[in-house]
Amino acid sequence: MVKTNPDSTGLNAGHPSRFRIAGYLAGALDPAQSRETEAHVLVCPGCATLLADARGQAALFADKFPTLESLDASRVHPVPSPRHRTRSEAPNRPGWLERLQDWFDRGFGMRPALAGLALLAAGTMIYLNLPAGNAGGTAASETGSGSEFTAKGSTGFYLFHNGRQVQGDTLACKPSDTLQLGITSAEPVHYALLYRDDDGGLEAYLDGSGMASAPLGKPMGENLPKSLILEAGWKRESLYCLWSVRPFSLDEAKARAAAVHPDLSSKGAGSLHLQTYLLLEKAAP
Amino acid sequence: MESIGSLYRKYAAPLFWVCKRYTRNHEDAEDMVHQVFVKVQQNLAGFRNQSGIYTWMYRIAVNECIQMFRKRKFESDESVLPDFENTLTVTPEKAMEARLVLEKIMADRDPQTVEILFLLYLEGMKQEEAAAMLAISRTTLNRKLTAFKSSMERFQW
Repeated sequence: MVKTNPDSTGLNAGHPSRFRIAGYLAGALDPAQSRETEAHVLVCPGCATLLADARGQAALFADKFPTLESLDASRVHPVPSPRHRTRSEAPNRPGWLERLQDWFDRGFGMRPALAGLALLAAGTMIYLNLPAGNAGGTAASETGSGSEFTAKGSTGFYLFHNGRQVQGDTLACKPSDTLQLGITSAEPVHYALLYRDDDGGLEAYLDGSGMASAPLGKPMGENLPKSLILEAGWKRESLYCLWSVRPFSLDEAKARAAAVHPDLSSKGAGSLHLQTYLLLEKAAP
Repeated sequence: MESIGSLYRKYAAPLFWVCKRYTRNHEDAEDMVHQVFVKVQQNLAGFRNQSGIYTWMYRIAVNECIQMFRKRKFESDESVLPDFENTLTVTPEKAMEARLVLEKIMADRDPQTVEILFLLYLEGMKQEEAAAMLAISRTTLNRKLTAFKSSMERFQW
């Protein structure tokens, strides 16, 4: 852990500087400094948020300007200096990812077609752990409560149905049920949630790149910021939960979800990993 | 010696984040990163690896940020204040004082003092980190810091 330095100015005592955080992202720190930074971030929510912001912003820049040539080319046409830009011009129009994020902030994490209706209803969820080849649709059971969750080890999603943790990959739901997803991971990861609806199309609940500024995941688990409230009117739905240590695009997430098959299990750093839940409408008693 | 392309792939995106926290908009931060790499290209042949390439490039980026602050008018526009999160807590009551301090910092005639203040108070560096980046002794750093603090007493900050 980064210790408070008696020589510190006192303004940032005990926290890694931006120099240290940017260096950590760039892989420019020595191993001891990297370990210190990692350890500090694990116990300091403020610095974890700062690092997440750094990761997100860096990923957006790297996507936009992957090479120096691309950045050079974009600067050919002079832009007004800050002092010549008026207040109304200053903020960039938010990109589609930011707009998507904003939409989710306002739309409660629902798919667009349903956002205007009453909130989501019944569903089912599959929990397919592709790397393990577990695509068999194991019936789900529910154990414990959120506060009892103590998952450790490998990275993955977990699911709570009406506040109770789901075991298995298939879940019977009814309208107005609430689903809460979370991620357990040794380090924050980027994630996306997609669904395949009755028409067979793949759509985004939450987009990985859009959430890139706030990757999630702790060894003891961290809930996604939005719950899904299920809506009536459909029979089954597949929910695709993707994660990676690196940012990824919506198109990449869709391609990964579309190619769902155990043989395509992800391996290695930077892979895009997938879990799938099957939601089935619970039969009326 | 690493190629400029390799340096860009490693460091451009993290430096963009550093710049973005001061500019608060993408376009200006992109401009600053571009300027950093223009200067790196111009000076890479003369780089002597005294402090490490990352430290050297970071210092160039910091100086770009300082130049940006020098150009901007502080007046009453809070939007030109950097993002103080995790370094300073600026309440609305402190905003005016913060602007005054920034004006004072940027108006300092000694460029090295400006760098020291920037690294300590805005970047959140420890004194030893800042001294290493500037390739000066901590005694020198402390002397300049003490002189600046004396000049700031009237702000009670």
